[in-house]
Amino acid sequence: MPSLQIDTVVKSYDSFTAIKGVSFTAEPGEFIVMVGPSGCGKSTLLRSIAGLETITSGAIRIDGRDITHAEPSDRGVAMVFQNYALYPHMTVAENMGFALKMAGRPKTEIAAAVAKAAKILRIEEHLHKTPKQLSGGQKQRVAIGRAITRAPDVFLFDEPLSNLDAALRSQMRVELGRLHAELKATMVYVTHDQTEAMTMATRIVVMNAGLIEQVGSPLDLYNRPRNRFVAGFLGSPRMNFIKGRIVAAGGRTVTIMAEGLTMPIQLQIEPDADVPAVGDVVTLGLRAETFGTGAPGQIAVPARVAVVESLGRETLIYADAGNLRTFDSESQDGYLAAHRSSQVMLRPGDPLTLSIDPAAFYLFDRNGETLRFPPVSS
Amino acid sequence: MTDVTQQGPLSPRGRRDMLSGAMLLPALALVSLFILAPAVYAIVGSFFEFTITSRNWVFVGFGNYVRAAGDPVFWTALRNNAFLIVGSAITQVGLGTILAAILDRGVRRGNAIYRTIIFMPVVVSSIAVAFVWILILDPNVGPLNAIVKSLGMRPPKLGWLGDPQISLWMLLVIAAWQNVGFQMILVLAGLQSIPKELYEAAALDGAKGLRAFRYITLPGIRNVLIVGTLITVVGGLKVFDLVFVTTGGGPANATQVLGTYSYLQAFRLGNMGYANAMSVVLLAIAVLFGWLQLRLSRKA
Ligand SMILES: Nc1ncnc2c1ncn2[C@@H]1O[C@H](COP(=O)(O)OP(=O)(O)O)[C@@H](O)[C@H]1O
Ligand SMILES: [Mg+2]
Repeated sequence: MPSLQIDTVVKSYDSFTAIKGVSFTAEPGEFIVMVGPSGCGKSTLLRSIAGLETITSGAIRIDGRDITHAEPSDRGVAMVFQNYALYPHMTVAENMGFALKMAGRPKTEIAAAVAKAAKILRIEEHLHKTPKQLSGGQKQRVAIGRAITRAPDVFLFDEPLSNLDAALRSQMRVELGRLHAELKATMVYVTHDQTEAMTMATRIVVMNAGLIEQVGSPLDLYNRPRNRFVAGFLGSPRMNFIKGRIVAAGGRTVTIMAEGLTMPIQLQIEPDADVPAVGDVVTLGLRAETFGTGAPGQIAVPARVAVVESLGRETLIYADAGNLRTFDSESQDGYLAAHRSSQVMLRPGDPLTLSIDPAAFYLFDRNGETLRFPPVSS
Repeated sequence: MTDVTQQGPLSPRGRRDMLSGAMLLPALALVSLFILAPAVYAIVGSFFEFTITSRNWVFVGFGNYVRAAGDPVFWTALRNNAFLIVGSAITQVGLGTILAAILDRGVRRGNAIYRTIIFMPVVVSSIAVAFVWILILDPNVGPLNAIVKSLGMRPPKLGWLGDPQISLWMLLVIAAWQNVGFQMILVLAGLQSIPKELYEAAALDGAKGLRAFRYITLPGIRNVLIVGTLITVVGGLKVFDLVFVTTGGGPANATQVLGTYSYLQAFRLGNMGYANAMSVVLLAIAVLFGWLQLRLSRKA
């Protein structure tokens, strides 16, 4: 189980730098998920690791061995592509055994490796079919099987589930988790889907515009995002962001007037954060599941139901709370997202009181750096 | 009762079948009129002796075929067709593939310009192409002679098209010049339909360069190559205008092909039946190749 080390990698195209100096290490046996919005350079970084792109500067090592300039086939990596990239004129078995055949391994060894991988992925009955006889999910299994037969040091996945339907996707998430536990291999998995990142990763690497925003375990990033970007990217529905201004500061305590709230909010700044100055613009963050039920000490906000998304046992409510609005979300029209872990009999237009627990607020400075995390409730 | 009418000839399904039949009708009519009818006419006519103007058909059974078997010029023509078929398959499909590969991979700038230039002769009529090459190959004023002389070598005394040792090769060159662009476009389309990701997966699997060509490219353009070869084969079988204009089948039948020889027999010597028999032989060979192509591409 080798480690993978990415050392200040830069990748520039003619006039555009896609990766602007990225470093991280995948420890042996880790399942690293690189997540970030479309176009942030995830695929480029993954393809650089695979040797499909030549990096501009930096180094890539596997188990200490510098592979920066090695041929793709000599790196000990296998890659699973988004569109499967199965060889259309070969059978499933031939697809899976192709790398071993190219390496000149004996037929019996290839057959054994293919059979073993097919068993792990439960595709034994498809070995003699050609790719066009398979469904999308089966194709993706074959693509994964092709990677397994090579027994690589590092598995690379580039959005392997994005062509599958929702049900199959969640099933494959579980299977990939099982596969990782079974193979105990080092894996790097790229996705723009925060759910995949949260559910599968041992550690998440959040990327944005060619840079790493934060690295950490899923819960670590969820609870203690370093900045507003990470806070907004992880978690569904998206965190509510409310504009505010510092009106008083004393010691590590600041007082904030939030847009749409009449009552000032007092918060403690983290010990290692810079105390903002009076008059600074800040952002308050509030996760959808933190809206309370009206206990004492909570702020009651009159609102009106805009959209109800019933998820069965749980309910998502998008609420129109007048001037109290989330400001950076693309789709919510400024509606606050509130999550109830119960069925709710509400219809659009119904009045509703949102209860906000001030202790649940995140606070971000004018540059988006986190000033305060709410305590983790369990 | 309504059930019965539903099942009747105007059920939705029946109506759909009738509609498809109606849509196919014009095409079927045209094919029957211009291809099937002449073919039947040729086959029937090949068992008779007659001239183009005579109303008088004399039944000769397989006589015209027997005559062909004993006619050395028929065999020369057939051999020349075979030569042009094999030669064209190699030059046109082969060269077309190489040019397509170069345009697909090697050329960064001006791709469209090269493509257009190489494709240009395809849209020019064979007659015009033939005249251009007659000029190029002219023993007195042709640029080829001038070039060969300036290189210190001697052009053929009897002329490029007049020397029986060379003339057929020249026809091969002209045909290649005219048609290589078509094959190139065909293969280029095939190459560009192969997803880039396949080459990347192959690179990771250890297949690059020639091995990527062998395992990814070749299977990917297999059907295109089969179709391209078939088109070349048919072209080599029915070649007429190019030969007719440049050499007329000469010198001394050195470039005689079945097309020109049937024409000679039919319209110069008045042996319509014999010409028909030769056309039927051509047709049989073409059908055989067509069937072969169907089988080959189905296997893929
Ligand atoms: N061959 C290329 N030439 C120029 N720019 C490219 C090339 N490939 C990718 N890019 C750019 O690099 C950025 C990152 O791309 P990519 O790694 O594919 O993003 P992601 O996988 O995160 O969606 C994008 O802005 C993309 O337009
Ligand atoms: Mg991508």
